[in-house]
Amino acid sequence: MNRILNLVATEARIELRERYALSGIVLYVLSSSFIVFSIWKQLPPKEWGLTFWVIFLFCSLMAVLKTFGRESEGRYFYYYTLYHPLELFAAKVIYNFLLLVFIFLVLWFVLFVMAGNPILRIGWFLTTGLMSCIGLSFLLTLITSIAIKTQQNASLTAVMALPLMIPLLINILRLTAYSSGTTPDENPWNELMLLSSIIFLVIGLSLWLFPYLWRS
Amino acid sequence: MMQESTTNSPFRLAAWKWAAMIILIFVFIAGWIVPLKPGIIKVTPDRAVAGEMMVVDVIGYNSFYLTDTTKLRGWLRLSGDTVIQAHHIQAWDDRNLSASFYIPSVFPVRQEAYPLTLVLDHGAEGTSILPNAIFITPASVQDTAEMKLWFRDKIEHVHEKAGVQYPFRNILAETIRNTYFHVPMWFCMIILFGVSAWYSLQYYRNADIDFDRKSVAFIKVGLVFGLLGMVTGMLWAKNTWNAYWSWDVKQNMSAISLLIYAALMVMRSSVEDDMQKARLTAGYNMFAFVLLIPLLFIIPRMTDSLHPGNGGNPALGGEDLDNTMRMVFYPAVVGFILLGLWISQLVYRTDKLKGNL
Amino acid sequence: MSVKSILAFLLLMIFQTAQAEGESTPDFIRSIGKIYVVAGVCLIILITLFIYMIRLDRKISRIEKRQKNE
Repeated sequence: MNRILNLVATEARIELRERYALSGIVLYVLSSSFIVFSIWKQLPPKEWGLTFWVIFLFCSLMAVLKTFGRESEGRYFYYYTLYHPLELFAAKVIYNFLLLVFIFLVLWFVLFVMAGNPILRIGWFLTTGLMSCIGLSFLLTLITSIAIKTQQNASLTAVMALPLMIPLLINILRLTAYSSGTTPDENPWNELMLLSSIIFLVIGLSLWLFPYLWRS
Repeated sequence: MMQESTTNSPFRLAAWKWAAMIILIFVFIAGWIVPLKPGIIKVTPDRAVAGEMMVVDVIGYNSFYLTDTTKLRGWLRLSGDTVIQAHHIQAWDDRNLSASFYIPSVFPVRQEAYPLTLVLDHGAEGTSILPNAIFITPASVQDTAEMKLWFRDKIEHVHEKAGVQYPFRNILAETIRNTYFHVPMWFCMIILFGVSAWYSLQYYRNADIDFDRKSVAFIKVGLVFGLLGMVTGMLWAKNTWNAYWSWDVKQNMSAISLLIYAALMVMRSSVEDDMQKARLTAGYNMFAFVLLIPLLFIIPRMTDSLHPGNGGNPALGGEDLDNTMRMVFYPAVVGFILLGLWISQLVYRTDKLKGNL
Repeated sequence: MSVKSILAFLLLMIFQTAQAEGESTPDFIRSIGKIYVVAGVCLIILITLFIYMIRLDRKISRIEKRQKNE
């Protein structure tokens, strides 16, 4: 566990040393929500939820894309000899999770300032957000670890990850609609169960497959 | 399952390949020649006011109203067993008749409008039903004495037409036959992707490049079948929902599953090292197949869909499939799956030959 | 993959033009209880599978030719 946290800390240190990294994400969030908002002019609750998750998806794709891109070949080899693949994976996932939560909060704040906050059940929305951050961090980390081995990894990550995200996204959108009160859905526990079972599937599969995919 | 035929005779084929051919020939013949049960295409007028006499003109489908005009009977059903019977029925020709009803001015239940179901019984050809045929708006003056005009009749003493027929469903009409051609495409796709995922698992266990070849062959053919399912579905949707693509859940989910596997093929083409390619394919394939299960089997059931057979099992359940149809539908599924396996096997053998050169 | 998508697109085009022609006679494809939709579906399936088999056949012939040359 300590070794994993160490890796996370190293990761964060590398990221924070380059000051443009985090501010780049914040700027990405700001500019994309600005574009969307200037197209919509005003956001009714339903469109608010859709906009939120669309921006969130693309921001998270962009942020996670460089998970494995930062290190040189040499450092991979170094990691490979020093750490178990699962330790490395856990570190990357935790780091990406924190990044996604950061994006989630920033995006919420930005949209709150720009378009108001239609979310009535804040607890539900936070739960949805946290769960989607968990699911997406596992899924995106695994997909980037595949895509990094190909020649054109940036576009391939999007191509491979986006269709796989859709089962998650559908449930997330429904839960968001519930938390902003735009659907009469009185039984959100079903959705939450489905979402969490899909996330468990993603977690189990990625823990199983990452060590296998990482060998090279 | 990979047996090379040892002799040159063109008729030396594995039994299951013969089975695939024979079953598919049966399906194509039975799917086309068995007629539909009689049905009602159109009723005019389709709205009326309660408390008045009305004459409806009915256009039938596959019907032979003139065969025995004495046995023609008709009802309008409100719900369950609450019905009114037709006063008089006049058949003009085999496909047109007029029926007169008196709509009571008072109804057993209170609603804004009353959708009534038209039921016709005929001695020669059985029963035809049109749900929600006529919408009745309540009368301004209600005479409670007319309540006795409503009968309790479950309409059980009706004729059944002898012989093998497919049911008539109002929106589907003849396209109910697509159950044998369009639906098995999806079954076949899922089975082929499943076999492919299984071979990926084999590759995961021992890294033999042959397993990779197999799994990719099954994905290729599965994609062809998925594409077929989508294109045939779009043709049907254009003529039923008036748009090739109407963002129905099932359409979306099937498109997404095709996207996932198309992405896999793109990913394969951008890796150079063979072992690397095979390992990434195996990993992504298993990951994708497991995630496909909620996508195809759980989410469509939680959402409203216009697709026939909706609610419960996407294709097997409920009203759209009766026992006659099952006798063709199950063979159709088996036949197309066998055909899919056969083609994938050919693709695999070709790829293997190419690889060995 | 691109060959297949082009194929699907072509098939769609064929049916679209067939429908455009059918507009002069009132809704040919939807007449007789939409039986022509079923015909179209069967044709699409058969033609696509045949084309796929022809491509496969060609591929095998190419391999055989190469094998002979070696």
